[in-house]
Amino acid sequence: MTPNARRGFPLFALLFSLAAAASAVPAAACSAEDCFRGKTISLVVGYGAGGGYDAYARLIAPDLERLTGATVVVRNRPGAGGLIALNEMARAPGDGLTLGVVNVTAAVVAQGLGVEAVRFDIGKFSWLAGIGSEQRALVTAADASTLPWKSPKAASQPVRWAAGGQTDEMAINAALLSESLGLRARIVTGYKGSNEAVLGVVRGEADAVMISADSARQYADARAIKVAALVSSSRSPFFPDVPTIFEAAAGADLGGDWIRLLTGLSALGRGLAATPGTPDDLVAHLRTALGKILTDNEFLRRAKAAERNVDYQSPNDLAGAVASTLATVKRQPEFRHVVLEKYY
Amino acid sequence: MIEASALFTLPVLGALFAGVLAGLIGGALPGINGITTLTLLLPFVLTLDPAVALTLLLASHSVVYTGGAITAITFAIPGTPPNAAALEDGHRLAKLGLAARAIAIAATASGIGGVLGFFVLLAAIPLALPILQTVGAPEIFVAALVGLICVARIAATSFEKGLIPAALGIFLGSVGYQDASGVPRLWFEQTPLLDGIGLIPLIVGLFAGPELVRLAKLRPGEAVMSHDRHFEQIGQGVRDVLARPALVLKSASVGSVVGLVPGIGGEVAAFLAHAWFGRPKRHRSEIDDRITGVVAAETSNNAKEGGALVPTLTLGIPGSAGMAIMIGALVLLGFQPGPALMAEQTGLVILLAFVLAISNVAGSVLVLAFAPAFLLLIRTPVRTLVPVVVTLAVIGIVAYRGSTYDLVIAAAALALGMGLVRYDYSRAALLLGFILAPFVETYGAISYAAYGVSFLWRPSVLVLAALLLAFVVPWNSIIQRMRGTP
Repeated sequence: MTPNARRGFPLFALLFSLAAAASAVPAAACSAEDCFRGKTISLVVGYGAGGGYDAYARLIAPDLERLTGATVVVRNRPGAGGLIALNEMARAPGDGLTLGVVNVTAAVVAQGLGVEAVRFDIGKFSWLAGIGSEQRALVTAADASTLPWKSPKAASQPVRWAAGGQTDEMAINAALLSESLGLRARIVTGYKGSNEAVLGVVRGEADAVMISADSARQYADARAIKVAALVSSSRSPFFPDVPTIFEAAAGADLGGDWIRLLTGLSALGRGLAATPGTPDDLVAHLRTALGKILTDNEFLRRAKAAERNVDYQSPNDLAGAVASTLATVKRQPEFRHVVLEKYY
Repeated sequence: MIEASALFTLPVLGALFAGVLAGLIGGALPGINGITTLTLLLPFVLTLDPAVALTLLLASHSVVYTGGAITAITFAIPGTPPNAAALEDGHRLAKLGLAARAIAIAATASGIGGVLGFFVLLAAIPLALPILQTVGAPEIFVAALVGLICVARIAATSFEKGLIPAALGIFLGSVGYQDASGVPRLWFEQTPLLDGIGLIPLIVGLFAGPELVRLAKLRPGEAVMSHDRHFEQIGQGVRDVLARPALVLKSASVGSVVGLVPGIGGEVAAFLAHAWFGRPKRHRSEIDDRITGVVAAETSNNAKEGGALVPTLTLGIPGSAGMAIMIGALVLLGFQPGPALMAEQTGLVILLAFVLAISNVAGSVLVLAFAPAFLLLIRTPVRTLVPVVVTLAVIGIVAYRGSTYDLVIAAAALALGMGLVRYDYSRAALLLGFILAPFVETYGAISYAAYGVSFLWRPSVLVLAALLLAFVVPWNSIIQRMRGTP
């Protein structure tokens, strides 16, 4: 060792220990007002600008700026059905400065199926709030006189569902509902998004499709299709005449576990999360801020004006639902088979 | 209740003009496509009167492809993805000293295509539902397959100069999630590859890349391209289009029909029309061949939006990605697209149809008027021009889907492009394979899953296949080339 280096060592050690001490202290000490002041929070959205997830992020950003004193930037990282953004969040430091508006249903399904591109553990994210979920609607061609599995044709041919890829929500919901009802069914995949899948039903390439009730409302007046049932335990004010799946399938055995999985997954909906490893006090500050925002009347009025439904769910409820649904998915040995193989 | 006569009020006419300007500029700037333009305009229009707001949005959307052709022709950077179809031919014309003529051809073809799309819109409104029910996955499959067969005619020199790059294009098109299964292929653990290779980085690398390398090698003071008599060229360009009424009609019909079928992008309209009708013919001059290519591609992509408005307005099903934003705007302004809109707001629907037609004409006239001014840019010294164009290209690539990884793709495509140019393989054939192969695969899979093999015997499939095989496939050149006769 050279004399120079020997002389430098104690200074370096001193600096190092100071830095270590400094990094240990403020995590516990900063108050809600100054934790984020002057910093930049990224609100990551796994879908493109102009879509639903983007709209929620842009609604929340100004209020979050006001309450934290930070600059909030919405960053769109579209791709791979939201997986690219989730992978990026999993890699980001746990400093409370990277938050995400997450499609919780899709994330749980991707992880539960062991999808190749998954590089995150959704159970490790720090959940900040649930924004709400959308009911699923079963849509058929307008001239279908009855539910697809009750039609005379169903006696000889399997019911055909329209969907995108095998792991998208349309396909998974179709598989889970078919399994719940014990249907003879086949899922026709390849449609790009719910619009085109609905069109597949209009053209007669498929008998039915499961889409979000919000999207279904858009078609409520379209004469080519109709909403035949809602996957929900109660009727929706938007479709007072449409039966729930439980009413529609009255008498049929709904196969317990599978229908619970279907409704449980749909109920996860959209959530706000911080990156894994975010310190507890920062999580607590963010939870308080977002809880205030999502229940504020002025915010809800703006959301309604933008046609966005907000239904606040506490972070503990959401985290609990994520953990239990993930556990159910993992416990169910047939899940992979039912979702990826059985109906193709 | 909005009356169609609202068109003649000052605010609506002003909105139409402002929309056309915004659309042309947005289209010409690489990386800003029709969707981006609409998304940028949307927040501003929601406080306006609905007729004014919708006019502004539709006018801008109608002309983005008109503007996008300018950068494709001059710099080989497509302003929007559909302009890629006309790029090789248009840019070749520019290099032959005919930049003004090529821009005039593209602008005129776009304008006429848009107006023909308007007639299709008026005629097809009552037929929207039957058309939707007839043109399904099996028909799309056949149309794309025939487009792929046309690759045989692409390369002017020999059969394999088209076939080999086409096969490479099919291969590159299969990277990422397979549409029909959602299973990723050939992604080498690189998450940005999951969504496939982007069209814009591929095109910019293949076409603009080698061009920039060529420019960078020029000595200072050397002319980038010869350019003179712009006004004469512009008049000639307009006449070039008018002299080809059959080609214009055929290409416009392809565009409109593709527009009527939701879910198929604008680039498919342009590439199908180009593959079917815009290919080189024997015993025709190169300039003629190139003009045919530009006319086919540019007519069809503007005609497409007329078709795309039909399902949007009548059924509430967006005919294109841009139309999905239009539906959003309609809803936010208090309208419900669908049959009810047709019945209760007939005036609005007619107004929108006329906005489409007029803004297409206005867009073309503006481009024709300002093309000479724009072309002065090319007189810029090489040492200034190259950095500017490289910056444009980089912005266009990164803005396309917000990924810097696409720069790596573009660099790889540049290397590939240099090789293809060096050995005279057709880059257009590569693009055609890249764009059409996923359609053949996906719609083939949907057809088979929905109907089994019997989809091949559907009457509409048989009729379409017979028509295409009779009139589109270049049998003569295929046979001649297989025999090896020149």
